[in-house]
Amino acid sequence: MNRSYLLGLGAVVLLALFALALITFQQIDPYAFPTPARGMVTRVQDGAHLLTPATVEAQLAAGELQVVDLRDPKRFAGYHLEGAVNIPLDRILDADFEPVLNSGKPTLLVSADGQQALQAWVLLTQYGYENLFVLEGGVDHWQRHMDAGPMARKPDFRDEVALFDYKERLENGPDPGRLEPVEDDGASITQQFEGGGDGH
Amino acid sequence: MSAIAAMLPQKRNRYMELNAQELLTELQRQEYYISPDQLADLLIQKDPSVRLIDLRSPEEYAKYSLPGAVNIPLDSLLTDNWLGYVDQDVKQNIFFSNGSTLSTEGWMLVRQMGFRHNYVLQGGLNAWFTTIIHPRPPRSTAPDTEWAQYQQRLGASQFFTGKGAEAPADNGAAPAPIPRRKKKSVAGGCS
Repeated sequence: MNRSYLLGLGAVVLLALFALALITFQQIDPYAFPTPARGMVTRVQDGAHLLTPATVEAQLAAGELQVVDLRDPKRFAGYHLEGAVNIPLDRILDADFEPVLNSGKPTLLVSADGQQALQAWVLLTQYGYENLFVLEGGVDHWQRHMDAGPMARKPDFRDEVALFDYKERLENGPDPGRLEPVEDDGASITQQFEGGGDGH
Repeated sequence: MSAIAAMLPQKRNRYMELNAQELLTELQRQEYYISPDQLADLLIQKDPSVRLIDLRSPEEYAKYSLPGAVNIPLDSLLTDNWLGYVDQDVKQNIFFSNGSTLSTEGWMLVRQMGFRHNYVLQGGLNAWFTTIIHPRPPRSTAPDTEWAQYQQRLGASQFFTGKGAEAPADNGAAPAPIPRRKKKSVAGGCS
């Protein structure tokens, strides 16, 4: 008698707990986006989050920017912008880093070619963070064209600007009379980093 | 058991909407990138499942776009009238713009709404022109694989430039909107 009563009570309590767990699970997803995808379209399109190397240079000189480097620690150790903090992209949502991203200071996200920083920007901005920016061209461009002497400077780089008039280029091909600068491919820089990492 | 299954949270559309953590995981798998070389292969093979979507402005599209591409500027892409292009399981949509920025942003917004079969042309039209249309030879010391790839690119270049001279890309006709099949509010969207 007593035993079956206890069993029944236990079952009811268990069920209630299960239902409660279900309800909370359903309602509180800590990683849910507060802004829907459609709410991001205008912010994405105005492009105010994309800073050219020239703008970044000026703001860094004025001490107005905090730099968060999203590359892996090995590459970060090889080369990074002065004063940068390293938060690898895969850990960007960790609660530990919330104070850094929410410091109140404008924060510049940087990655190797700028694309991962852009992804982090979309993700974090939609997730509710404000005052984040992206370095166009990323650390590779910075190292090659901002930090390598005045001859190599390309301060106005923007990823979305057409490199040439496509139609004209398709019809006439590259201008044979004009020597085009041969750029290093990313490989050499990567090797340089890896070599530096191994040396330690 | 089925009673419990019925109590589990239901997703609001037939696709799985992603939260921030899931989207981050998806981003790191990098499966959404398609290289200019891969795209050239698909176009040369005339893969019928490929659909090129130019996310740039109508003005830029009018000046030049990839052959056969439809123009759906990013701000149109997520409206009900055009969502039919991404809310589907038949085509492989390849988003592109001048670089990778605009197309990656478009991909992220579409992917988190749960839609699949969308890809980003890595490097955009800039990379398409510098690697496929006018490929640059590798260094003389480069390994054979790089030279083989260069030969491939030269072949592809001939395919695209030779053809482009005779028949201009059929970009004249404006694409028609494809509304979504079922009228239902987009999960997570404005209701």
